[in-house]
Amino acid sequence: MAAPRVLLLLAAAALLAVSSVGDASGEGPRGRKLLVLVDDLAVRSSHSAFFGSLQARGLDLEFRLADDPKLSLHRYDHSASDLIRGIATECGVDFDEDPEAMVIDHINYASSEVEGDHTLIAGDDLIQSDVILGSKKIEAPVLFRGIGHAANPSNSLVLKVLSASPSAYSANPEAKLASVPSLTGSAISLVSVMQARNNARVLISGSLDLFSNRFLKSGVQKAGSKMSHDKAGNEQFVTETSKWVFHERGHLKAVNVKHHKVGETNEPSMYRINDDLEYSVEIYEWSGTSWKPYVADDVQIQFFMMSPYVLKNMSTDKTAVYSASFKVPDVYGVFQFKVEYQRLGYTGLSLAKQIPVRPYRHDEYERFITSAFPYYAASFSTMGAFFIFSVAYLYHK
Amino acid sequence: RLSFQLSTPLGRTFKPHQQVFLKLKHESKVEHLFVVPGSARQFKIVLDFLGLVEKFYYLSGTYDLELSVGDASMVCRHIHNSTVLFGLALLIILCLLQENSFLRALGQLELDLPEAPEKAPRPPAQAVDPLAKFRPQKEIEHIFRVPEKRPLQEVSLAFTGLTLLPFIGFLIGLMRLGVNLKNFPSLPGPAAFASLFHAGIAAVLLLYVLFWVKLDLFTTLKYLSFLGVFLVFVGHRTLSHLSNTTAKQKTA
Repeated sequence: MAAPRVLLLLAAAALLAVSSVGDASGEGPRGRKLLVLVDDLAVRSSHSAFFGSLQARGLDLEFRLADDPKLSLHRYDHSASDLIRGIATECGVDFDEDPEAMVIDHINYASSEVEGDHTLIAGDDLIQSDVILGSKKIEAPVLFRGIGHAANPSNSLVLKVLSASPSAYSANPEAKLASVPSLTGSAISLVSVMQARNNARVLISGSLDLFSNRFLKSGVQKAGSKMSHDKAGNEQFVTETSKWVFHERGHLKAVNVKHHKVGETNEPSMYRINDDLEYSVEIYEWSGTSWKPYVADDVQIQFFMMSPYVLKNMSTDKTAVYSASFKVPDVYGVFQFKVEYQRLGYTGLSLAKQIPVRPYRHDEYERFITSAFPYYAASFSTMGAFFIFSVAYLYHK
Repeated sequence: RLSFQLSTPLGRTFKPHQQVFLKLKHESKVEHLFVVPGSARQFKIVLDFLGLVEKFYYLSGTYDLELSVGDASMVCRHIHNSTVLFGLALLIILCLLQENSFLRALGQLELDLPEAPEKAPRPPAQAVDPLAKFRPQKEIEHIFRVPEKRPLQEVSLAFTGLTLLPFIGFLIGLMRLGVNLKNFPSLPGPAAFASLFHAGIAAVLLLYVLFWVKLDLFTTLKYLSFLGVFLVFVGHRTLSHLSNTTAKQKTA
């Protein structure tokens, strides 16, 4: 009973194990080999539409049973579902402890001809992110049947891609509800993603059926709504999220950090206070086949020493070059050019370049100061008077 | 103490899996969920707040009440109005023609709970908006130190004039005293040395001015050493000649 409901940590975790990171020109941030771990090889045929679409995008799939002795991944004596629960907990996602529990929603279920127990949910509470879900809006609800999970709300690495509605709860559909369920309402996440600080991406879904051929092809009508869709949003949802998980979208790289004084082209090893300088960096996004210029208006540069002295928005002319120019503060010390860029669904950029800033040299100050003229006059009038006196005193009779 | 009763007169029995939840939500977003136990037709829950004070984390204030009722056998058709009657401490909900699962807000409840003792459990931390780091930060423009205030140019020039007054006074004083150069050596030799001596002094003073304007110390010292040697030689000749002349005048 656990097997069909067991969550399949969709190969994103496996992708980490097998792929190689290649960042040479033209090559993407991740390799193209994909390991698919399954409990039962029948999944290969029941989810053939999904796997076919992955192969069409150039991914090289390899199917293995979870307890295949030839795999060099660590083998545990627990079942696959316990293993996946453990990995999910490491990612900050907690599944319902009851292995028989499923997400039940008496208001947002998908109506079907058979009298169900409201475990087939038509979810339409999707995250607002063009990076993760694609630029085209998913009109039809997404069909889901499985176990729910939740993440700590203060965890900023986990994002709920498909959340349950406020009337949902997680319990065993066969048994009577005895105590308050631990997962209720919108806190239940049906599908979540996690992007780690090293930019590895994991997608966690409580339903294996979400990816199956049956759900990808079926129509959906939400209970209580008169609108019926011919095709559920599953196919679009699954394609777009898999593109995101496999780094075909939203993976950024920053290269070519340059800085120089305004008017010059060489990069100095040190700046002076009150200098005017210009900083530029190139940011690209992997599009699945090549690196394309990344266009955004909220990339910022910081001139940082213990805290940012200058924080400025960088402008781009759409050719991947982001630049900003500002005046060096009148504080001297060792500063850093910092670019900290974290946006929902995108890999993080964290660049830092150290540069010292020196104070004025003794000859870089103002040369003649008007308010010092009396002193100049005093000095020179003394010299003049001395000369005249020496002549007058010696030769006067 | 709050009592809540739900009954459906339509005759359909609730099948498992039914869900009858009463949710209380505090204004600080802390939520409490209660399952309303009951049989096929009637659900009743009695909330004794004094006993539940610790579960509520001693949070007093306004709570929003929400009731959700759901059942596998309830199929959504039309949603009719249902009447909600509020008693003082008793709420009775009559689902007259209601056949559907519903999630309904019941209104608000003010709870005035006693103060929390020292060891009471704290309410769980609410999310601090983890999405804040995904937004751009506010721009920071460095505020440069304002240079010190200086007096007006006119003031400085006025004081320069004042500084020069003593010099002018000196010149006028010399005129008044009737200064003359009668003691200047008349013989060409000593006259030449005297002129050279004063020219040398003038050259040294000019060197000082040049040093102030643009020279560095090394060049200045170099030229000064040349001039100094020259001056020693010339000056000795001049001054000794002068002193001889004066001595001769005195004795003669």
